[in-house]
Amino acid sequence: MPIEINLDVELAKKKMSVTDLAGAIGLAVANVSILKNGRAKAIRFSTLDAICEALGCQPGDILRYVPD
Amino acid sequence: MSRPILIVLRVLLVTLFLGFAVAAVFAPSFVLSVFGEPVGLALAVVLLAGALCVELVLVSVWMLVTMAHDDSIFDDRSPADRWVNLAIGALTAGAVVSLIGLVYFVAAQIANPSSATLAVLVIAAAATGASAALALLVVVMRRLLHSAMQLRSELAEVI
Repeated sequence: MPIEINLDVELAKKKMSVTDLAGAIGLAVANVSILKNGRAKAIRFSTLDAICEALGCQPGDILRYVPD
Repeated sequence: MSRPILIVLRVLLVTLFLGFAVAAVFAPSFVLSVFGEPVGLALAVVLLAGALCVELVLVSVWMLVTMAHDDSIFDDRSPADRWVNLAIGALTAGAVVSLIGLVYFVAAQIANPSSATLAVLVIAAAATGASAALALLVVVMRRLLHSAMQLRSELAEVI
């Protein structure tokens, strides 16, 4: 998958755990883990909105295009 | 699906099931006494086989309605397919049975014309057409079920 999610970097910057983020955006911890480990197939804009709001970042900070 | 609709539908399904079971028990002797030996016997066999097919369809409808109520009908692993296939099979079998009956009644009408046989013949033709059309309709609905299952499982992967 050429699109990568690097949530862990942003979480580390904000000193937040996966559980904290899940609580802040009202998502199951399991789903946040799937996102963080790069196993998600698709993400809703509403989820992206909530993550950016909770972490105070831009979508570009957590999404990265890596050519194969 | 709302609760009242489910209850009414289930009551209707049970009533229909029992009605067809009772009809299957009493109809053969009745049609034999009305139509006499050759035609009456054939009609009794067709009615029995047809009633069995209707019962099978009613059972599948019951199972599918239950799944629809639980909202489990579109799940990836739902056994809905099995029941839909049973309904298609039963409707096809019903169409075949009525068609065989229809052919027999046409032959009987040609050999020995009577208004009673003509009436039975027309009803057999209607039953054949109706069950064949329903079978094909359920085949179309099975396609829709498969698309819905696929969409549901794709959407489940969106976070």
